[in-house]
Amino acid sequence: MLEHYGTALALGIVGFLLMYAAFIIQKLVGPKNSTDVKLDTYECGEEPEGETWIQFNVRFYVIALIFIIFDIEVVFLFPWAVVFKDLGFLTFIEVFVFISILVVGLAYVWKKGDLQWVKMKLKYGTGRYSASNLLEKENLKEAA
Amino acid sequence: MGRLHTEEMILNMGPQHPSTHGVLRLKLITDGEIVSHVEPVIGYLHRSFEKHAENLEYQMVSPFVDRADYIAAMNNGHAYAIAVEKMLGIELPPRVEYIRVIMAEFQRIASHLIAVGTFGLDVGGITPFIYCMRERELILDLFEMASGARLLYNYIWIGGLAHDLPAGWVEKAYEFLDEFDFHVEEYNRILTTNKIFIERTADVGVLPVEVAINYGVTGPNLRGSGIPFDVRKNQPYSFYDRFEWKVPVGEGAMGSVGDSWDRYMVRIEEMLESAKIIRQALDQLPAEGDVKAAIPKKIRPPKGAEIYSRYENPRGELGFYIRSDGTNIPTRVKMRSPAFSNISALNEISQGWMMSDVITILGSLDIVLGEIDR
Amino acid sequence: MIESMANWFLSLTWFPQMELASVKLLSVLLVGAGLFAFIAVNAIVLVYVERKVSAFMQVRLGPMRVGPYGTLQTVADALKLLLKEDIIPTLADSILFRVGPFIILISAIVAFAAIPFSPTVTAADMSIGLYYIVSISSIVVVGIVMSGWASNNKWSLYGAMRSAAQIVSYEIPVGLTLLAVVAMAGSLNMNEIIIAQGGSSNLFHWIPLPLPNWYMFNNPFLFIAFFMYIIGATAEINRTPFDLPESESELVAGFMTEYSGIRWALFFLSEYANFTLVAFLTAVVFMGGWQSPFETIFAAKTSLLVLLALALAWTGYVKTKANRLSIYPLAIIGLSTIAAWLFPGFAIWITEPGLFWIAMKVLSLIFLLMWFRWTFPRLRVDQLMYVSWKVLMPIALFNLIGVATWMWLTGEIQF
Repeated sequence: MLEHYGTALALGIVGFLLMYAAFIIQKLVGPKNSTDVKLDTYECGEEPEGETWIQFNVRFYVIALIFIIFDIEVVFLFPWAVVFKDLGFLTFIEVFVFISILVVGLAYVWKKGDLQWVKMKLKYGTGRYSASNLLEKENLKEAA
Repeated sequence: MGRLHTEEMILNMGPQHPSTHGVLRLKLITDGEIVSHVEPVIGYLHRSFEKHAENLEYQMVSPFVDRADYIAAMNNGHAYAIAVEKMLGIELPPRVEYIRVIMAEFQRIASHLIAVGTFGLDVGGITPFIYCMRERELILDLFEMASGARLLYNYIWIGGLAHDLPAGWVEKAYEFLDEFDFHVEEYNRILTTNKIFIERTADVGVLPVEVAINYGVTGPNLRGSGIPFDVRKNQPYSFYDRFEWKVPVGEGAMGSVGDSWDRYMVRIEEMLESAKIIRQALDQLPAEGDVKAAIPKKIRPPKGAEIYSRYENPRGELGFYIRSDGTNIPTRVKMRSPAFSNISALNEISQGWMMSDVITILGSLDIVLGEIDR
Repeated sequence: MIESMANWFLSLTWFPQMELASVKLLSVLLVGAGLFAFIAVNAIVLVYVERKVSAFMQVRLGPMRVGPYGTLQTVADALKLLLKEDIIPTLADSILFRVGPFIILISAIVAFAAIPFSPTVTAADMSIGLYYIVSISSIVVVGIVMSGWASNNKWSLYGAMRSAAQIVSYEIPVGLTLLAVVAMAGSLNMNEIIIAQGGSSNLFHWIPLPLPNWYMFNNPFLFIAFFMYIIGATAEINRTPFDLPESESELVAGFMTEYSGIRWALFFLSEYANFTLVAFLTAVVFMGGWQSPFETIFAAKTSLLVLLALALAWTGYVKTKANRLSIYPLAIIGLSTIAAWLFPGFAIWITEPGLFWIAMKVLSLIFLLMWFRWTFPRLRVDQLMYVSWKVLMPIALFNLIGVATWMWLTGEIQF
């Protein structure tokens, strides 16, 4: 039993060592003539403007939370799936209820619009996320 | 929660970027994936063509013109030749005019093939680009037969052409036309009707008519917004009034009128229209005839003569303003480059879209930096 | 496999007498090295195949200069990458920058341990094999975010953020589709999942179908699940049309923009390792793994001959040389099948037919994914999220219930 994971571990170690050997070869034979410009950050041939490590707007917070909920759900379902055949109809009902609750959750999140990649309005422009465009759509909806 | 503070990022897209179609630099101000401001920074390919032209004889300018829009060199040469000929009031032999139209339309097809192919690249499809280049090669073969060059031809001279067409050219041209419709069908199958492609381009970067007119957008971009304006139709030059063809306009078939898909589709349809024009021109082409009009060796338009001549380049209205002081060197040659006007609308139409959409919009505008920077 | 390998070693006359435990350790290391060699060689071959496939799809020739038909091109490329200067930008976070690619690579290759190549050739026949692969391969995202963030490059940051959103979102539909299969098989062991797909297909146990009893043909819900899995898996390994993290035309090279030389080669290796892993997983879970598709109709040897006949017929049918070239591997296999009839034990796919069948399935799936890549444009990031959360998610949940209901209707579970 344990030897299975031993094999996986060995594979990881062997892979790491062999790739590390490649790095050593590179150290030995590769050229080393770096300049400041070469080591500069790439920004399409221009000097980088401004910081990269800023408070980046990933718009992902809610989706990350939903992901955690659903991923744990999947993890919970794996043991059920394995024994499903043996335990039969009762577990079917139980899981049906379990999934239904989550479906309700998904539907709620969907309705709230949190599954949208972008849930914001820009004050400028005519794009999909500009205030004028979204407002127009809302007005259309209300009119309908 | 939605009030979480985020910072805007200044992002230099270009000059070394795969999708800026040359050495264009876009200064994007982004908030996450969303772009709030786009500032095109141009001038990386500036070669001071207009200043050069003030020190060269009229004939010597025409190779420079080819280099401005290197994707559509034949059209540029044609436009310049027409402008100077109008100043001089030269009448050309019909064979010259027909060959010029044929060349110009072939060049339009070649240019649109690049536009369509690179637009495919911009939205992530690699194969359509190679398909387009395949057909462009055949057109370049034709150009090479006629002029000896494959990119910058200098084939259309003031008062005529560099050479007559070689033997067998017309047959090869017919051969290309016979197969071309089938190839366009191929592009439609692999790209135009692809669901992902439509999702990516329909309703994206809608160019409203007022914006287009305010910024002086012309060519397929303007026609994509639904305005059937084409210099070849509205102010026919050369022999364009002798052929039957229509001006395709954007109809908003997949989204709203003037979106990226419409601009793309206008180009596809224009290629077919160009093929129609070429076929008619080949049919009407006189078998024999001179390819050079009698013009003086030194071109000296009258003192104070000036002209603005309009021409329909693959990218839009290409204008040449030329002023003469009576010598054989022009005092001023101003080029109204269509792509320059087209790209100026970029900021207006790409605000509030995502970064991927900005690439799509830029690709659908089909710019050539050689022409913008001159 | 370790057990039998150790016993085989001990049975050799020249083999030094050792404790069983140390022989086992040796076998484990050998298996690890062998699998890694397989992954590395496979990546090199797949790069070549991908370039040739794309070339044939794009009316080109592809690499032709290095070696016959350009076969050594990727070897040359790998050597070139090895000899390149190692560049770490000054502004980058040096440690994370170094660690990132290794995490990606190791998570990609370690998952291979549980892949069953044939009934006997399974490096680690874990009881929770499928779960192990799913969980290990989702570590990739840590490495991607790490290297993207550490590069201190805006394109890399965008790539990393997109990747985090993408891989994480697609993990759930992929997990749910796999769950449906696990419920059918009642096991997480890869070999048991394959064995459960034996026999021929029966609709409701009384309508026989002329199809093997692979899970993709087993019932309509799993048929849908198969396509959903292909879509989700394509997204998980960042291939077109879901290659947003590295989308060339937008983000230059995405999270690997700052990487070059051998460090970049790590990304490349792990990309193709992941690619193969997904193909293997699909073949095992939905396409009967190492089982022959004709096993209910022909014996293993005969079916190889049938395949050879089909290959020859196809070669006669197609016109272009490029298409004919693609048949050579099949022809070689067919010829050696004949040889194996005459000299038993000659060809490994006679003694281990599973190797041949799983290779065939994996190669077809790889070709399918390559086909996607060279024909489809790329999705936008919000469309990507849309597909995952609003299309795949509901269908996957519905599917899971559907499979359970199907099992109840067909009498596989009782009250």
